[in-house]
Amino acid sequence: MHLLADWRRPESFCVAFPLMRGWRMSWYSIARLDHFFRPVNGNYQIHKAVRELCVFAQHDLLKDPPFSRLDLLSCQNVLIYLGLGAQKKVMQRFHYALAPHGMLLLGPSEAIGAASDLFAPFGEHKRQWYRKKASGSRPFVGGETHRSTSTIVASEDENSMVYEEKKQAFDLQKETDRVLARFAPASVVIDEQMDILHFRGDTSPYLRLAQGRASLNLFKMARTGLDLALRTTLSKARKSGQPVKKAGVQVSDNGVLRDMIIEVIPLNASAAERYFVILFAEASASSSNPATSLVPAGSQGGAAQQGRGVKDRRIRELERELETTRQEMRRVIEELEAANEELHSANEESLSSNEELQSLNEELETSKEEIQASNEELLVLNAELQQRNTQLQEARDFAEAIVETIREPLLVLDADLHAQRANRAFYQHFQVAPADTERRWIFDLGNGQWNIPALRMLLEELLPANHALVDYEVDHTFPHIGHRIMLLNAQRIERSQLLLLALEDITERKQTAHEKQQILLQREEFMAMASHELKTPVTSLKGYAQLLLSRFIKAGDERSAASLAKMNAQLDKLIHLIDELLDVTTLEAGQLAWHTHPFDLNVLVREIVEEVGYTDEQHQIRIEGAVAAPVSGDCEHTGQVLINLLSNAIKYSPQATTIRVTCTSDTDSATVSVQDSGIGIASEKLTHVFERFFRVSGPEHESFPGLGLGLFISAQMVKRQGGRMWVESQPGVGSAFSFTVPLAPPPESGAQSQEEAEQYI
Amino acid sequence: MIPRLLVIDDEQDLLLIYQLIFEPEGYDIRLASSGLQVSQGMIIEQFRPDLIILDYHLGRNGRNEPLLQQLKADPSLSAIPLILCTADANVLRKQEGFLREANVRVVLKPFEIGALLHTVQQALQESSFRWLLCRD
Repeated sequence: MHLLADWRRPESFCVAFPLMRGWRMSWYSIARLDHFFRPVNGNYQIHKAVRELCVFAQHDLLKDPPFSRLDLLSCQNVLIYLGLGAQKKVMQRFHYALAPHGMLLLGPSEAIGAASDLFAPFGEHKRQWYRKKASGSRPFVGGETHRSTSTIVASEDENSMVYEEKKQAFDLQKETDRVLARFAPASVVIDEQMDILHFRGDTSPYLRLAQGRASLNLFKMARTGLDLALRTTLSKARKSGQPVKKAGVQVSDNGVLRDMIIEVIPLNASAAERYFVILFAEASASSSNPATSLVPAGSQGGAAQQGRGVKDRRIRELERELETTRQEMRRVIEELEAANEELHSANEESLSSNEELQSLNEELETSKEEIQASNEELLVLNAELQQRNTQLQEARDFAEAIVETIREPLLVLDADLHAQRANRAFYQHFQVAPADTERRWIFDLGNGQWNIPALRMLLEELLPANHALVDYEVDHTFPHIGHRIMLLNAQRIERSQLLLLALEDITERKQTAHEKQQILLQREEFMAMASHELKTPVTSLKGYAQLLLSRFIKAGDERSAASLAKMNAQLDKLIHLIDELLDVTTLEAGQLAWHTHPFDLNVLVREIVEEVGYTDEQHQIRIEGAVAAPVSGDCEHTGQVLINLLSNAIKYSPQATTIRVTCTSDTDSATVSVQDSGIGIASEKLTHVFERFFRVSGPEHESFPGLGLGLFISAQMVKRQGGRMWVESQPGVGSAFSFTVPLAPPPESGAQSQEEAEQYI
Repeated sequence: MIPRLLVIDDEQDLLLIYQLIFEPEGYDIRLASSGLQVSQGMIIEQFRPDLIILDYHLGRNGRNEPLLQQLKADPSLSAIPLILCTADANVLRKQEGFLREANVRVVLKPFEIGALLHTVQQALQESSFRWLLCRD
């Protein structure tokens, strides 16, 4: 093996194979490095054995005779320095220098240029080329033969001698060819690009140089009428790979019509390389010669016959030509049809792809519309959200305004009982600043003024268990504002884990209520004493009146007895008034003694009706119906209510003779109604009859005395024992006052009612 | 046998009325002002009444419960029937439980003379009936 390097600069040899630098070595694989190099101080040095294989020589590509029979020729970045002419020359030298099918390696910026007839690409990259077989058209030595020969001859080199011999052999062959050419038909050799490589014999009747740029293209050079025949014959030969002969080709040459035969012989040099030999022959030359020679040898009167013969031949020729043309036509038509079909199918394909595109487009359109729709939906949603947001903001502002406006102190706590915020009333009332309140633990607020055991219990134990607390009273002495009674209302907001704490200061209200109660008690005490004091003389009066009355009756003084009876009745009225006043004050002070027992309402009604009946002779009191079960209540006060109603019925029905008392009962209460047929009450005053000191006023009522306390006391008593009282009335027709008493619970709870005996209202 | 009646009241006029009511009816009546509480025990000891009428609202100092309870607590006196005569119905009702237990009858002032006499007779009859039962 020999390695040969060339370089344009001679001085580069002295640096050939220095120590290879490390970075250059990264091009090679490790295995390769080990094989060809050995490491020296971090760099690499080529093995001696390899180095000894290398021959270095200084060589001028353009001037010096070329090397030959090389397997590989690497030309990197040489051509780029050369002009077009020099490049062409160098290519020819490369072609010569390489052995058949030797490889030529070009640099990335270099191209084979016009020398495609010399080299064929190897592989897809246009950097490796292999040498084509030598075509005889351009023998390498060309115009330089003389010079190189002289040079080579002058040298003593062995290779030059071989070359000399080759040259001589070449001449011999050429001579032989020249001699043989006289017998061979005119022919050309073309490659697959239809370029003529080789002319043989006289081709001028068939080919001529075309106008314009110099070209060796067969079709450009073919004479008129020949190119079509050449094309068809060539294509046939190319398809079949067999020699094709075509006769009867007519070519007009300077107005003379000539009949020709073309034969195309394919030469398969290799799988990729094909050549065609095209033989031209003059058909008429062979056929007409015998004919013309025959004519003089034929009969005398053959002028006409000869004319006919010529004509017949002409006809035959024409027929043959017609046949050929027909075949041509058929073939062309077939080709046309095939092309048409291809076109058609291509058309269909494009149509179908068009349709596909159309449907794709439609899909895109649909998607676009969908996106548009979603977009619109999003817009609507957005608007809605915006609206909600506004509503929320409004609601928030509204709530804030409420919180700030209310007069009750309000504290918002988070889940850890830290104050989130408080309203203005809170700061004012407890005399604290917002800065000292917000974000602080409630029990640390205002020097721990809220650290109240009851409140701690409420917030830490009660509230987590319950959702809300209503009206929880806290009694505490605050550092700034003193002793206060607070009413706490707390509400847990589940979602935000916040705690609303409303603190209502009820100290004053409590005080007022207490004072009012005190006043009521004092009044009751006073009234009790006053009534006692009033009753003492009245008792004496009544006693004396009765003693006198019995004495007058015994003495038979009826007039005095009657007066005393009237006086006695007036005293009873006075006592009744005093009792009513006392009852009201006792009721209002909550001091009325109350004993709840089960009792038979029917018996009570009967007794009371009887008792009232003694004092009134004008009216007949009728009891209708009965109560089915015992009732539960204060028997004495219920009797008092009934007496009151009966007294009113008697009082307001002076013209009537009957009063009806109706007793009914349902599942849980008994109802007693007292109905008179008296003057009645106007509907607009009905709602007021149970009010304190209310008296139905009007011209027809003025003659009836009273304080207006009876119905008030009765209604209060009925209410006290869990019943209700109402009135139905029509002026001029009468009134019906009714009240209910709850039915007694089953007997086993009787002990409980005994315990209730000491209650007061 | 003439029933002996002790009436305790602080109102002289009223005491006179009691006298006017009961003397014609044949009762041996003794009147006592409630102002002299110490002497009441002595009067009861000496007079040994068959029945006592007591104004419950005795004097301006208010409730006369101690006397009532003293009367009921003394075994020698607790057998004597007692009638409370009072103007204060509400206060009376508050004491209802105790009064019923102690078998004390009540007459509300101002009273009807007939009703008072009736109550006294009833109480005496019940008492003598009980006394007879005890003696046997």
